[in-house]
Amino acid sequence: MKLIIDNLHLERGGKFLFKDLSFCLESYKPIIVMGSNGSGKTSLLRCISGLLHSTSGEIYSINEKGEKIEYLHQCNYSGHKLAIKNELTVQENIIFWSRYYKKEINKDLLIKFKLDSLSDISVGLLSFGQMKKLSLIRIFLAEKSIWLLDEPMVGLDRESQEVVKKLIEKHIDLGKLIIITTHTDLKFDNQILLSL
Amino acid sequence: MGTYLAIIKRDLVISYKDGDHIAMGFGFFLVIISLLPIGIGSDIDILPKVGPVLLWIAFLLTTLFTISRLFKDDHVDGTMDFMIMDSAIFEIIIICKVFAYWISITLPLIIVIPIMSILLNISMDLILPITFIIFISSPAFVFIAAVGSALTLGMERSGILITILILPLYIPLIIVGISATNINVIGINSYSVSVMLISGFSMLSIALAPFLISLILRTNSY
Repeated sequence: MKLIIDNLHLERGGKFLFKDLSFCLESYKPIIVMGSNGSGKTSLLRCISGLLHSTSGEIYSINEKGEKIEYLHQCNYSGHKLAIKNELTVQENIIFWSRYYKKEINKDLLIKFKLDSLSDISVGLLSFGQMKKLSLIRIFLAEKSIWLLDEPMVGLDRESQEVVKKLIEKHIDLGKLIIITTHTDLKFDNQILLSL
Repeated sequence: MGTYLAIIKRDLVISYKDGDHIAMGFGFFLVIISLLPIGIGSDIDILPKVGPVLLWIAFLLTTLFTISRLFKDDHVDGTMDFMIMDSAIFEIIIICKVFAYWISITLPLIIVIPIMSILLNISMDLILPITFIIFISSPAFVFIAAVGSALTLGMERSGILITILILPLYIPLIIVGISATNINVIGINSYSVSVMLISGFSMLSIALAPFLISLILRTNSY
């Protein structure tokens, strides 16, 4: 499967965030998007995820036979909003996603993220880093084919960053697609750097 | 099915943990109902005549007052984003969310309507018909209000705007509903016709509102 971004324009508030943006997202070739604040990194991911409508241009997916296929249901997006419920406990949030995606949670991941001992704690009491890890668990749990990660390392300690990096590498090794926006020095094999 | 049950269960757990919303709705309903008899004073004959109308208006205002948060929390915390991306099931997700709201806010109001009817000195013969007709009209009430909630998403203090936008849509429902339980016009025919009309209105709302809400939320997802 390939994801084609074809001649994408995005105008917000009378200003073009990007013009004539074209690239192809392929298996084993992660795309790292870099750029200054306000350059349109998040907006690009939101356009691809269908949450934001581009001014013009097209985003589509093709299968091995070259036929256009629907891709949105195969996408998972992690943005600045963490998509976790402060009123619920860590465990209740995870159980909800587990039921929502009909997938079993990998308990090793909770241990690696040091969230296993916090399962009965209300999310509102967690630190930002812990919330971010909890939010990322949703992405890893859903096991979708296209990951759109908006600054996934923000707020994470080094140990957790390593865990996230390994999970991203595993995703890439499975031939699945990924775009990551970042300000940190993230490196993956065969990565394509996109500057906005 | 597991996905939908998960959404309903999650919304119910959040509603009961964050109980102020339920308490506010319930309190608002009780305040409206209990203030009128004080306002009318000692003329006890007026109360049974205006009581059914008051129940309808209190029910309507409570729905409009409490519905503004239906999609707001999911929109603010980003949950709405991944739900919108599951495009094939988003309309069903909306139905699940409205159903969870109905269970947590609307159903308790319907349960106390018989008690409120006694407080309003409504005839015993009318209590069950009034409760039943409000019960079958409640899906229409909630789904129409949910459209208003989606339209005003992202606005602070959207409750009043929802009321202004949505209130005209309730007029046919209120006219039919009140005429069905009006002591002067009640009879087998008028009541059964009203039940059929309101059932149709409710079913139409359940069928159309999720698509309209889905369209509004997708357009406004920015």
